[in-house]
Amino acid sequence: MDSLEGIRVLEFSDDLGAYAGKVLAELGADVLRVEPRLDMLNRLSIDPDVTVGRFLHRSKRVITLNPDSSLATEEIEQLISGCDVVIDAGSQLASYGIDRHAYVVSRPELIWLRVTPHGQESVEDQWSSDLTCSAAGGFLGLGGWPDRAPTRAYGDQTWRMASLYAAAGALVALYEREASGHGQEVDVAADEAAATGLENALQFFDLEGQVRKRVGAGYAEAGSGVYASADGHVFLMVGRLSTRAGWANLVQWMVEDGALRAEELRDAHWQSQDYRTTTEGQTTFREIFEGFSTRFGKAELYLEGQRRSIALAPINSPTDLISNEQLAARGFFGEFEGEIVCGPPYRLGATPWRVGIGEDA
Amino acid sequence: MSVTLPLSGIRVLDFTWVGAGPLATRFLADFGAEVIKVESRQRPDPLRITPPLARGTDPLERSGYFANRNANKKSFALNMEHAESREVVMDLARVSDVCAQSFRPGTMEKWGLGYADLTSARRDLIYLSMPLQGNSGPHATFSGFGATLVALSGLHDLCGDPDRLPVGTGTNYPDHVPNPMHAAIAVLAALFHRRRTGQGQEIELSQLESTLNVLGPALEKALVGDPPARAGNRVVHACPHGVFPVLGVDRWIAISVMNDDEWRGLLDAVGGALLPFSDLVSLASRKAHEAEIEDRLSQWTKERDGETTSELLQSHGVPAAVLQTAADLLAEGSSLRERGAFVWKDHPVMGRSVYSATTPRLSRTPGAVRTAAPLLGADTEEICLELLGYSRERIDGLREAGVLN
Repeated sequence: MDSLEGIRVLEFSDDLGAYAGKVLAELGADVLRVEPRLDMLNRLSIDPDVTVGRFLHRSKRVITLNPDSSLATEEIEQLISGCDVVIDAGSQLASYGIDRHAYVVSRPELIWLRVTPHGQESVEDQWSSDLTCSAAGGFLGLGGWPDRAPTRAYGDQTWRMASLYAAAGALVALYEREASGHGQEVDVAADEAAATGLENALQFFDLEGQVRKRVGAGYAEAGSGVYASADGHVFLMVGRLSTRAGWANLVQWMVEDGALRAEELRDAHWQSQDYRTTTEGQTTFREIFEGFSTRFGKAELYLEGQRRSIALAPINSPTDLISNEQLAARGFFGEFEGEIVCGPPYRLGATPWRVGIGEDA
Repeated sequence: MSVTLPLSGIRVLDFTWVGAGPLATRFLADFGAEVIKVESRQRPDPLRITPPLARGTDPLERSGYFANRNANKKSFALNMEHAESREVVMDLARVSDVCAQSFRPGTMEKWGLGYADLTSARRDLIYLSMPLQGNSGPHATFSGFGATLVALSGLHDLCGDPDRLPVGTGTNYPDHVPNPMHAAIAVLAALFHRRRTGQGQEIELSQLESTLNVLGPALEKALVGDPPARAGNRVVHACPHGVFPVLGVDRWIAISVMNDDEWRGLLDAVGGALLPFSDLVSLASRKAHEAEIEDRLSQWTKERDGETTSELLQSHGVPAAVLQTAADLLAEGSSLRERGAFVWKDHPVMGRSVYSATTPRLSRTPGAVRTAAPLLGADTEEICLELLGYSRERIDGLREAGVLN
């Protein structure tokens, strides 16, 4: 049995809410996605890359509506009458003249996810994208180099965040409906979702008056940040806070390996964060450490770093990940209709995640 | 009329700490679950000592980083290194619906508190573990923290300018949204299943695998031999798509032209500033001149006020928004503050401080931040007396033995 067996979801969504439909589908809901009309595409945020579309929609049934708009509206009304959850993201459904408020009376058990860039009460005619919502929520400002423009998170993460909150909201509403019999509206704003991803930036301003900004490749401190390996980069964190022992372990490893000037890293001034944050400290450490680290591959550095209790991780590329031994051992990648596909975000013992369309759909 | 919160009656025994786990359980608490956070003076949640800090000298009760993740929770002080703690946890499990933990694999089992142990106390328990890379496999017991996961997952590599080192998102992003929300979703799905069938279950959330799901297309493109690479703010299907300077110190506007209509809107809005490119009515032709367009657009934006420029571009149908800092977001009148995205709560040590509000908004049974983060052990006494039914003598004995500490 699937977690959401018997739950019918109707999805009218661009990429803003599409991951919510995927989450519900892969927990066992029957998700019917209504493809937008071609003339609507300019007002919708849809990545035309077919791989993105396959990833987001492979576990949904997909239909197109009658090209006659008034007939399509009738079809939609019929579809809504048979479903438990509507995902209404972007402007697609509104353009058919469907008024969600009407259903509060006629279908009180319906759960209606309204996913918008800036909230359902915001101006309808605002022009938005993943990038502009990331800016409006502040998330964009934390990534990038201080001497250049901030840079975005890869892969429409603002849309993914909005979808995650929408899916979680749908589940809270479904759970509650089992007791009360009543549905409700779930309102998600993408910019607000992005503002939940600010780590501690809100509290830094509130409590200490500091405005957190982008810091480039990591902390401006010797021992913490991105360093070169023979085949790419690693992220290292030794010296700071709880990673003090890691510094000694790293230097010991470098000394054992005969790394040039490794002994210098035992000098007392390296114990001081003030020194580690000087330009001289950062440059000197980089020279000495990269003289060592560029002789090894990142996976090799990772394994030996783990053995020696050093916080060092490979900066994996997507290509590294598809041959990653941990993911392979766990059978993370699966097969679906002849393609290798991304595996589950969670593993439920009794009601497993599943890819593809359920048998009873 | 007061509405019963959707998860009222659900009790969560919460061993998660630091990053992702506490936000997952906070989501459940916001919607009415009673979350009992277990920690101890010997091993407090490390975020309790992590900046930013409110004024004062208290060593454990001033972190805003901790507070935001632990609103609406109760705190139960229990020294897990003490042998007698196991019995207390079994008593708590007996009256709990969910147990959540984010320890390294094997830790709960070492204490005799794995899934099989706890279900002997509570048959229909939902048990969530959130190990970094899963409970099995050759890297299962590898250590790591937020920044490790950003690097392992590919996110670090995929973000930043192509001519420089990769930068990631500048945060431990997987800890803040993808992993807590996937965890909350999995628990809610299991609760829904239990409500319909009476059956509990075990959930394993590998934080790496959860993060990979928000990067799924990047992996699937690599699998078909077309791996993506970091590209700054550019995307394949839009141009221009970037972040441009406006008047002020370190002030920026995001502009994304997603189609040819929006390009025509941009040409109109900038009044001749992009004249040399006005013939580039297709994406392919704009892509061929992307750097020049970006440069010319920067020259135009940098002389202008951000808000005025954003309004001008919006009025021409061009997606644009001024980059907000934390100070902007929290300022009175900001659109997110007006929406209610932030709430301020009084805390006995910190005073009044800011929390992220509950998102999403549910119309009939909304969640809320009801109480500030708990002081360590604030609820130990009440839970022992009222929930576990321990006698005064027993509680005193456990305190003297250093179990409840």
